[in-house]
Amino acid sequence: MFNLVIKDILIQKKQLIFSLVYLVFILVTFQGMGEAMFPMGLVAMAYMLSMTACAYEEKNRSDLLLNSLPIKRESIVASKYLSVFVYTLMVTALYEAMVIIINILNIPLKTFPLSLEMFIGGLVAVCSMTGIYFPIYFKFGYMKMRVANFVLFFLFFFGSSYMTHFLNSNHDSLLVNGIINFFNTQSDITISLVLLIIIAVYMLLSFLLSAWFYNRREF
Amino acid sequence: METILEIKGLKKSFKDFSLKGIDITIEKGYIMGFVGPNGAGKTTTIKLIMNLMKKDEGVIKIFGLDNVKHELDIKQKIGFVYDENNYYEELTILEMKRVVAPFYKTWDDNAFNKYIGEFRLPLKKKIKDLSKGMKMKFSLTVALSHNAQLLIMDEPTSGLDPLVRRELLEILSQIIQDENKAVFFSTHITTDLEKIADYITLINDGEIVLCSDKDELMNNYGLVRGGKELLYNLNTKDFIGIKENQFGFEALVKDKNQAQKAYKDKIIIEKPSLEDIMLYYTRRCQNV
Repeated sequence: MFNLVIKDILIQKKQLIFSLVYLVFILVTFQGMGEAMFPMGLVAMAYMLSMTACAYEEKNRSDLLLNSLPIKRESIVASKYLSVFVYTLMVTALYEAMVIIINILNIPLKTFPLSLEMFIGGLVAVCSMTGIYFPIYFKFGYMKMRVANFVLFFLFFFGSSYMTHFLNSNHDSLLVNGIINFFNTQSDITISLVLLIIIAVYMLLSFLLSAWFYNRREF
Repeated sequence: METILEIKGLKKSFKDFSLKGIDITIEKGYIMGFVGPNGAGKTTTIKLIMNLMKKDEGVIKIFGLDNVKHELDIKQKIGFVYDENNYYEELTILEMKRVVAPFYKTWDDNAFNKYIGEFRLPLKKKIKDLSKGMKMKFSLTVALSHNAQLLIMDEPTSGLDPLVRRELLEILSQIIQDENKAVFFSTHITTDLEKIADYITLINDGEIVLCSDKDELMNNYGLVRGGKELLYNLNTKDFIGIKENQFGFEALVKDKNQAQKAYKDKIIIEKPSLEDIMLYYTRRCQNV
């Protein structure tokens, strides 16, 4: 299964160089965003890399190849999920390396060294997107997923502004209050742990759904 | 004799096409040619064998095992070459090998290097920069590098020049010297099979219309020519298909000796090519 992840990285050599340039761009232009710079950059890049990998699968009609090899369909699906975490780690390492370089060279840029909060925030953002679009990809393939993605993107943006509005106007409701209270009173570690568990369950469900879809696909 | 591939009553329906309960058997040590026009169901059959599609009904056994239940064990021993390159175009031959090889328990690097050398394939070249012939040779190299006992080939020669086609056929006849192997070779280029196949299965519109030993087929069938006057006195039961032309008719018979006896010197009998046999069978309804 790991060699499928390596394959995804190998076919994207060019994109990886591009993502390095992209990361520099983010570090420079997202100065005003503060710590949110990292999750934003991470989502953009992990999203780009995993989408490109899917696009290459479609272009090479590699479903035929992969499913003719002695590989379980679940492993093919799992490798795509695994690759998202590999991209996340790669981008995180690159980001931290750049922060260090900027500081050593005294480049006049504000830097925001990685914190647990930033990392968990990034991970949550990456997972919530991939967790939705992988099942769509494994059910319908890349071309149809792009259409679905377009819709998802809008939902994501409008949804998040709606959520902010909802939280602000329902300050008194018990549930909202409870959630806000939880975040205010618990330590960072506890919050991170809770978020990690939620992500893990969410990704597991997403994987099971993808595998179920992919097992029923015909090529 | 040991059966390597056994298909019984295989059915699969689509909106506009269906495979209508086909039977195919391949024994160890033989090459089975699977012929038929485009859209006859060759690729569908192969996809069902490889579990790329789900069958509606029927049994597919490979090495005596159910092809879905024992999918991974079976695929360890299958080599495949498809009509189009399905390897990642962005990778080099060497990179592609490194991705594929670990999946096979019995991957043989010596065999791989032997064929790479024989075919003069450039290891460091990206697959997208290879010619169509080279891509096919690379597919064949992978198919032959893990001690496969069944080679499944779906139109491997389509779009290749005669030289490369001949090379492929020579390799296949070499491979089959190893009596543990069998080859299932689908094509619409029938001349390929005249050279190497032991058995011929002809599929048309989702049905097997003919399955026979190739030599028997070529020796017994006859291409009959005769004058117009005879055309109206023919017993059409004897003929697979009849084609009328300006001067008379041309027809295919199953038993040329019987035809000779029946019509004596009123007809001329020639040896048909596999292509003639395929054409007469697939046009059957229109002509008789």
